[in-house]
Amino acid sequence: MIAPAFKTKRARLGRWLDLANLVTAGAALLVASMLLILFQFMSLRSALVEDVAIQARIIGDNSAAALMFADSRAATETLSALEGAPAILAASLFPADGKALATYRRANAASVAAPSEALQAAGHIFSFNRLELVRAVRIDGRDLGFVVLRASLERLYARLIGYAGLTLAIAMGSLIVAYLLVARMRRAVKKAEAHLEYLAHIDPVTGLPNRHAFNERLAFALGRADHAGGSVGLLLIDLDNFKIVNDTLGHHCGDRLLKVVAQRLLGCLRAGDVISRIGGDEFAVILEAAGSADGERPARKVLSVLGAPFEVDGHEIYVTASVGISLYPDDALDLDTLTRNADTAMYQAKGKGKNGYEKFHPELDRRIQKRLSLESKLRKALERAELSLHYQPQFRISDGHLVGLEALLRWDHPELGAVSPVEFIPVAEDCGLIVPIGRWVLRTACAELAAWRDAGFGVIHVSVNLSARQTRDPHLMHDILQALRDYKISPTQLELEITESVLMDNVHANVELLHRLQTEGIRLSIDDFGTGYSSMAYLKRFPIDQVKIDRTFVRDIPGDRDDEAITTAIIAMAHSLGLSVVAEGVETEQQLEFLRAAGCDIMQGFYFAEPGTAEQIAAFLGSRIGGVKNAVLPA
Amino acid sequence: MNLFARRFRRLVTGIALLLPLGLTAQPVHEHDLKAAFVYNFALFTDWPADTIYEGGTLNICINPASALRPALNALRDKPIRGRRIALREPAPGTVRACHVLFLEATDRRAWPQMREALAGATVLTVADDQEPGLEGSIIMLGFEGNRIVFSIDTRAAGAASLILSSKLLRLAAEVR
Repeated sequence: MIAPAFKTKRARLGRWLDLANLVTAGAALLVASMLLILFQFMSLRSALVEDVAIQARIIGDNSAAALMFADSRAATETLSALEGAPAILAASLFPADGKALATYRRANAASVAAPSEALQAAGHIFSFNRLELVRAVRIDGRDLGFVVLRASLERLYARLIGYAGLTLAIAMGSLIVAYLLVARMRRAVKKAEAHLEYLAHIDPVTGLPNRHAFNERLAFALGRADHAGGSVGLLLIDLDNFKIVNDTLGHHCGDRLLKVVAQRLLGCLRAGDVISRIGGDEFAVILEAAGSADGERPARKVLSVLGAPFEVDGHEIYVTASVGISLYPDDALDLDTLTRNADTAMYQAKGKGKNGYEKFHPELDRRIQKRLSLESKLRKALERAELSLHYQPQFRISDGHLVGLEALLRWDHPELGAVSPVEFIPVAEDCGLIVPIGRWVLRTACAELAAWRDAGFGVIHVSVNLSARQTRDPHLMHDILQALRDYKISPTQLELEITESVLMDNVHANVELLHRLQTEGIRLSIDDFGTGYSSMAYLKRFPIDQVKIDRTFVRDIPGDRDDEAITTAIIAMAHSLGLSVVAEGVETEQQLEFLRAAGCDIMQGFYFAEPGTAEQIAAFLGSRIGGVKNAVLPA
Repeated sequence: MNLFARRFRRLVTGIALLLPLGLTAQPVHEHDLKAAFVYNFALFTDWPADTIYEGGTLNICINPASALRPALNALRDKPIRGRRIALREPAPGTVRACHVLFLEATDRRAWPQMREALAGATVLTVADDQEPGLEGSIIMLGFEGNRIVFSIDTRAAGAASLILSSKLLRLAAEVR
């Protein structure tokens, strides 16, 4: 939306233009009318001269004989015929010697005098309201005298005034009609423009300004802050679980929710604050009032008004939001940076567990920069073969037998050195690189399994982690089967590990995927069990073969009563559902003993074996064949 | 315009000769007036196209003893329709060659013979005064108070195959 100051300026300019147009058109019409009237005057005048000249000629012809015989009576009679010509005021017939032979006068008009030399020379002379005209009377080629007529211009003027009135009235009328038409057209155009502007600047769902309008407003606010001093706060509000509402209740319901959220946000902000909807479930607030410029108070207010449940189509919906705050000019010196910083802060708030707000600080920015550089390096990592797989053996507790290997992704960057998966996996997940990387992991694991098989190390099982993004990849199933087929690996040798949160991300789609995987004979394991939802229901619903106890529980046992209880409970429950249990992160003998006592099936951890490269694992497998069974497994 | 102006000036200077008529008639001699009348009658008369003009002149026949003769003689250089005027003596043998025949009291005796000779001839006969014995002429001059008037006999004009201008007829005191 255009700032009001621009608008009034534009409107005033528009009115001036209208007026100028009108005046110009009026002046042009007036000039045209004047010229028409002048032309009409000239033609009326020359018509009058013609008329009077004809009359003079008729009179002259008819009175030639009378003039010749000096018959005043006959001449007067001839002149008296002029009564029929109302424009003629007076007329006289002069013989050559100059004394009037006959005179005619209308009413009390003055009689005409003998023609002056000038009049004789010109033939006719106009005065303000008279025309005097002289014509010679001739017979047999000889001049006998002349007839002089005086005509009144009154009738000419009367006709001219009538004509002028009509012309001006028509000009005026056409001006008015044109003005009305133009005004009407202009109104229509203005309305269309206003509508277009509305469409261009307003989000139809919530009636709030859209991203486009938001950018204009923000630029305007920043400009004002530059000139008048002061600061501008920017809040970015992202609804945390809006996607679930959309997925489960439908888009219509989602739109309704957005509308009531927008209303509530509008209600809690001050008059000077501008709120816009800048994305699907993202809102932005521009805080111009100096008092609220630190942004924390409005952010708290936003979170608290969203706290109460929303009533939409009979559903009671709870909405939380993550808010990022960025300040101008403290955090950023331009619009793009300001928005990006607010975005960064908002993601930080989300990362901290959502339903909170975060102020931007430079540390966040550095983290983002690092993440971006990591992303660009990661893109090249696959091509440059900087990635490799390490494997950590898993052993059966009851007899110490190797049951399988967990494939662990490693990244060795030439400059950064070994980069932790905790660092780069979320980056890969965010930018989508996880899909090609995941495919590479699967194929590499299969290739190495095939190599070990061919080396005579027997049938080895391997477990590979699946990320959330991968489960949404429509080619996942195809990629897995292709890898297995290419390296002639049996599906039963492959185990896929999925975290609870990945499973819950899209329950419906995942149930189907897992069923298909199980149908192919691939084993499925829940990773990090106990950290997320830990829903008993889905254990029953998903076709799962194994549960992996998270290392955070293992770390504090024995000793921590709670962790002991949880671990025991998970093992008991998994067993009663017919699932095997893996404990990871086992590092001490005490932990091993506790888990053995609790009935845990499989162990994995430094206590037994560190993750090793493919070569190290090959050596380990070879040594096992060689007779030194369970060399790394004490007890 | 210039031409027009020049024409007017010429008109003003030459007019005294062309139009010797004054309504008051007092300063002008009666003979001059009558001569001008005769001249003007000729001006307003149309002779048939086949009229013969011997020597190219328009012949006005008038008794050599007439008092009008000097006045008419003065108008000789005023051509009528491009023809010069010639004064002739009327005689029964040559009267058919006249175009205008002016008759006055002295011609009364010769008139019946001339009238016979004129039968069917295209001659404009003008009789002075309403003298008895000059019956049958086309135009007759007369007096009304001190004003010279004239009457026209259209039957006689028709018999002579002459056409008198309607302008002239309008000025006549009597038209028969």
